[in-house]
Amino acid sequence: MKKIYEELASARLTEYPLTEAQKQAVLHRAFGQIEREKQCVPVRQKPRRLLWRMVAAAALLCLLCAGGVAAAGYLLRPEQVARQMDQNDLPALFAGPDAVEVNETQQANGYTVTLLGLTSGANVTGYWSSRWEGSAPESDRSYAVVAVRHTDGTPMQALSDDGEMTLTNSLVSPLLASPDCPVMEYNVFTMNGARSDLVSEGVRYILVETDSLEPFADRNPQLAVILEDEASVATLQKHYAQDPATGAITPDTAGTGSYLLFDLPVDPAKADPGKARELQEQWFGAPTTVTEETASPAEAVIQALAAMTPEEIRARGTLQESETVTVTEETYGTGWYFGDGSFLAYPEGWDAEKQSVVQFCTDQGQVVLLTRQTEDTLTAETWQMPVA
Amino acid sequence: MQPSEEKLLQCVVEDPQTGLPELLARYGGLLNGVVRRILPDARDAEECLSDVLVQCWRQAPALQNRDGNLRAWLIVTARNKALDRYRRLRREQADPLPEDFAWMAEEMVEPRQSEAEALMAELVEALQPPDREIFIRRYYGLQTSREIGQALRMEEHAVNVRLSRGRKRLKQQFLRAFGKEERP
Repeated sequence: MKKIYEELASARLTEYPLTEAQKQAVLHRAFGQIEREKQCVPVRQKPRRLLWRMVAAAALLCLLCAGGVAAAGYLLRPEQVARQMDQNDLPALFAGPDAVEVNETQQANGYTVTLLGLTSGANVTGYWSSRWEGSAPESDRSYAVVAVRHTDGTPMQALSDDGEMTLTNSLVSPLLASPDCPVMEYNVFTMNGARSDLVSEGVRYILVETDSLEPFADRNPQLAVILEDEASVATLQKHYAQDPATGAITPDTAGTGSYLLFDLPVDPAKADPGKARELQEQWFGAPTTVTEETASPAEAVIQALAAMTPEEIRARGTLQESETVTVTEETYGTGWYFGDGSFLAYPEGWDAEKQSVVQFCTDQGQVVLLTRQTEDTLTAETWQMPVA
Repeated sequence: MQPSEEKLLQCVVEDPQTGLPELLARYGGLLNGVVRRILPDARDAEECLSDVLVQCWRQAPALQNRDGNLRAWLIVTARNKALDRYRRLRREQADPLPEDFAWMAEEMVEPRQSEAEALMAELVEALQPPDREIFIRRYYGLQTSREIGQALRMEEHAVNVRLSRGRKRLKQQFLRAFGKEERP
């Protein structure tokens, strides 16, 4: 096998360059997953004490009498959930002046989900982020509790069964319905989120915590709940459409999973632009202007080439290859295939009738220009630009 | 492993926020070229590439101690992740995969994925040129017969014939190895 790997290491295979936006999306998702794994987000299960065994036995009797249907209507309060999760200081926050009881229920695809309540305050759960290393961490935190039940009353599986709902196939995430807060950027992964689960009397309770949402109270905080789909930024982006003009978020109601959205009633008077900016800098880094000093040499070359017009490229570059290719549909999409097997997709938003377009460029100074010729053909020119 | 790959892996271990963007800058186009053969949707491909990065981050300490090649490991991992994702998405896929890719998706499944991988490598390694390169391009680079023909300056038809013969042998080996051999 080693020999094959050695040959594979030097095989010249077709490349399909990623755009900067694609690279960012790939990295964003990977870092989210890595952060979750680093945090080892605990799924806590309360140690069974004798009293609770008795309660559980009584509940079981009720369940058996009801033919396996969980007790409907009765849900724990957020402070009770926190207490059962062995959070000693959190119950006081849920009982304090900043707490908001919501008790709003929504249903989708066989699940009934209730947002029980939320609160904000000090970091009382001991959450720690590696991003805080070497700097003062202590950001306030927001906490919300949701209850998830089967709509038909069947009890939710115990945590130990680990099959029905996991950290990878369900997600609870705050979002901000504001045009300057895209779903892709403002979510539980970037906001230093953590989650704890508990199953009690056939109901699954999920406590989600993030950095405080109060500074963003003027940006319509909402809570997305995803069940039976991958817990990822991509799932959020795919199933929660955001109007770029208004920031309004609309959950997908036609997908195979359950995609719910609750309003988080955070008092708008608590909005704090200064504190919000501090959090944004912590989440995304201090705003920088990409200049030739800050961009890497390779990025600088690509940026400079991408900014050039087709006319400038033709005036300054050396034509290496020109090929007229035909639109074809193959396994990996409709597009244009070069002689060496490279594939080009149709550039989005390209008014092909009017002009050539820079399709992609490399840090080695290669630029590909596309010009549409007839209905199904186009000319792909490869230009070599001088690179310092 | 080349010194530059060792250095890159060290960076992934110590500072993934720096190492993974560097890895993506260096190998992103190559890996995207592999996964798009299986996953035509750009978003699916992006998610798959994220999985490859996370897997690399997880495996980086072990890879540092292994006498191998990072580029090859990434290509194989990208292909397998793409096949995994294809299996999960299959019910939503409008267009089926070419027959041998679909067959690979069936065979490259846990718990026998490593065994299947070794079997395939064994067969490809036993091939003589130019078949070996044809199969490397087909089963690891996931290239089309047309692309392989252009790269090796062969007729597409000739590539198809060679692939067809080798594929039969590969299939027999798999059937034998996994106890699914058909009775005469």
